[in-house]
Amino acid sequence: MASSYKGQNLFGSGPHRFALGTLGEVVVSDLSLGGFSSDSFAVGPRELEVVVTGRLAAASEAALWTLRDAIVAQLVSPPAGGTLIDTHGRSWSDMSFITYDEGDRTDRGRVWSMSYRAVFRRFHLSQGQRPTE
Amino acid sequence: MIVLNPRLVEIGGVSYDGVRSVSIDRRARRTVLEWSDNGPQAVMGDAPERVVEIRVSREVTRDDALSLEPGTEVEVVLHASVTSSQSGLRRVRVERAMVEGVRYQVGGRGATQTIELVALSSDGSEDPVEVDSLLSVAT
Repeated sequence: MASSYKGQNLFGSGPHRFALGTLGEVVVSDLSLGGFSSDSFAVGPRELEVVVTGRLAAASEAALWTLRDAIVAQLVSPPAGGTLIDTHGRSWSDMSFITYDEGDRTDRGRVWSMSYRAVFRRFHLSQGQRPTE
Repeated sequence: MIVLNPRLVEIGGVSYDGVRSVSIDRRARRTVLEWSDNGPQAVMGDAPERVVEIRVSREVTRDDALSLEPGTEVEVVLHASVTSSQSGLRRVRVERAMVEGVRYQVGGRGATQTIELVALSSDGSEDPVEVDSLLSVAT
């Protein structure tokens, strides 16, 4: 099945793979908090991250830009959550699209293609809202 | 492509005799291979960076002071006969080629000289090797 984000098939033009980002606890050192010891403090669980890596593929330069522009258009600020679904139907709700990195060049061989890495995060707090003391 | 015993070989406007073969190799300098989440097999492959290498191999039976320096850009033209008659004569032309090196292998009563060149495209997408239609007269 095709993967999707907010119901759109953003990555289906080429092969792509899904993986989870680092999970576990956010640990902060005492030094970074102004202390002077080697102690560290667990401050809470990390936010869930899903990383999509792959390659967009198109039949022309213009068609590849259309695919790239469609992805970039989903990078909104402040981020807004949506459902991300992988090619096996595994879904993650309330995922915000936060970063999109491309490879160092467009590859122009038999097809026009571009490698990428897209990162989605489920924020603990709704965005646009600062934590209160 | 390989041309054995070409009728004429010109590199940089200079005609070379004793040429035994001219090979034109096409290779991927960088490939793209991608896998999906569906299994172990590669699902996408491409060759976005390619190189066309030309090797001219010729017999050298006397002293030869060659002026081809690595990095020099030259035109390469060769006439090749598909059959033994003149009717199958083709012209292969590379308008721009960069001399990569000239090597000698000495043995017996003479030596074999190998001139290595890399064909350059005019704009990055055009094939640098032109093969003309049959020539009507021998040259």
